[in-house]
Amino acid sequence: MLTLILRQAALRAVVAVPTLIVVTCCTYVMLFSIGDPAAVVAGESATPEQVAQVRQSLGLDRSVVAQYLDWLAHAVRGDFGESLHHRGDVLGLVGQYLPATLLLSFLALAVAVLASVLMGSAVGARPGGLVDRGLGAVAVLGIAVPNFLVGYVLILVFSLWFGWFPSGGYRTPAEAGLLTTFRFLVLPSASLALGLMCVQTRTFRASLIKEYEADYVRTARMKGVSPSGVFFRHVARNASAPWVTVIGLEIGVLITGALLVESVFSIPGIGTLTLEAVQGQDFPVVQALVTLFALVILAVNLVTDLIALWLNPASRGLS
Amino acid sequence: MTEVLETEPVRAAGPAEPTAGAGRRVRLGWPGTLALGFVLICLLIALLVPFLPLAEPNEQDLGDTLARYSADHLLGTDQLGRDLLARLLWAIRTSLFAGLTAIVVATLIGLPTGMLAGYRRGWFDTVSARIADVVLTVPALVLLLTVHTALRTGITGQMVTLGVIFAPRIYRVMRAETIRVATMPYLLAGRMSGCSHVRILWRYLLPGIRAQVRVQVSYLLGLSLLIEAGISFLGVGVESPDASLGTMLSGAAAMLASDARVVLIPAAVLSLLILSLNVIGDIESEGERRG
Repeated sequence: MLTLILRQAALRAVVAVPTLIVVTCCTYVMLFSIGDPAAVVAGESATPEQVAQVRQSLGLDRSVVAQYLDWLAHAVRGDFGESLHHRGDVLGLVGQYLPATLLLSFLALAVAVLASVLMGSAVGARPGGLVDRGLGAVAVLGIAVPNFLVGYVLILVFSLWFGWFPSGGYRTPAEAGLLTTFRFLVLPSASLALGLMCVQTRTFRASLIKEYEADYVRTARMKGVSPSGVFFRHVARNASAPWVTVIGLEIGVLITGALLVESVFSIPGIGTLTLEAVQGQDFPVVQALVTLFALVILAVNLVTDLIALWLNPASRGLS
Repeated sequence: MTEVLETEPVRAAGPAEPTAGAGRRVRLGWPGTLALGFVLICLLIALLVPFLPLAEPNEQDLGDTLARYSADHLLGTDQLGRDLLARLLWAIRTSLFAGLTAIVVATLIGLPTGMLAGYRRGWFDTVSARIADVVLTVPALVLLLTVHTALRTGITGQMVTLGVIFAPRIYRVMRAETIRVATMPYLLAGRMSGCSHVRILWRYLLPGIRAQVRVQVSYLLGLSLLIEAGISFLGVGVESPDASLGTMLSGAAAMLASDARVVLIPAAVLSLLILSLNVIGDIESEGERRG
């Protein structure tokens, strides 16, 4: 079992390398062909000679292939170059903006996971019932409402009317304590979690219903296993495999959502940095961010697939 | 004689097709009917809005801001005194056309490649699957932002890009569906009767996977609308003063506390539209499961 998962992990990791190379290479070529970093660095008032000089000093006059290989050689050693706008290296810059986004995403993910398990179990255990219909309607609606709008409604209700939480901004745990940071992140993570929570609830409900119809459930019931025993020991485990896979599939949506939510709540996170870097044509930062996002997407998909494999032995034969 | 051989078996294979899902009636139920009706009304609005007797959607009247419902302005005016009804209907047009652009591009790329990969397998399958993997790894929003900043082609360019990003999703489902359908007896019958590959793909496979095409298209159209709203809300999609469901939310978000109506009306239309598309997708997939 363990060797199988390890082998699968190793295989996927090996396949991920060419994928990463192609993605970063395409991004590099695209950025290279649509803008001129030298002009950005030299400023708007620079003469063509000055731009040419900057281009030469930054090594931008070489061929795109040479530049990409140079970037790749540095990137594998963790050196993503220097930002064109901010002082200092790109990795430090990303590291500065990353914690807020990570915290926000983890909180949102935790809320979505917990809530979807509870809601999914409640509706999946008795399909067609009143709870099922009520929560089902909520879940369908939750997917349809854009999360930035949910953010504004939450601000209106919990910040402006009740005054329970701040309406925006962010304090790091180091400067204000973990509790204050948490207070700043409650509304953003709630609005980010809603969509994912609803998708997962629906997935969990569907697979629970399917599992309850299976023969092994009937066998277990006939053997005298209690309803909770059937649920926890048999059904829940098998039904969670697709639910875990959904997390992997939705991670891209979560990244997009984080950017929007950060914008609504003015949180200085990766989303803010992305918007700033793309609009300011800060190419080294954009390139590093694309690499980071691709890595996260690949890693999360790998981990969720392995968990699904561990949860559902039936899918092992297929891999 | 050869002609008879070519046509006869095809007709014989015809009645077998419904087993793969073609031509089967889908029961809509009342949520489905409502959803389909709402989407059709929105589509009709999108097509007809240039011919409707509406106020100029971008014309400001700063002396008449946030007006209530009146005969002049059926839904009132927004914070810049623009007619809300006119803006709303034009926004439906902009957003729906944007979403449809993405879907058409995604389907044009994903459907044929997916069918071909599932039908022929071999090297084409391997290569296209790898390409799909790569595209799925690209962070969509970063790409859309870059296209906005660098190419300045407006929302159309971004939606074509979104279509390319969505193509692997359609490709994957269509490939799996094709593999499922390709093992069915009626397809074998078609091949044995000497149909060309093109004919098999067009007349035999496509009807068999049509239900899944509809499911994917309705889900992805909903997602496209959500993404259009998202990027326009950030100010990097449809640009103000033009009305889309996203820009209407963006400009009015600050009004939520003072006059929520300006936000809630476009928000409700957007959410209802996405909701309806998801409901339509659900119905098709249930029909698929029953079959």
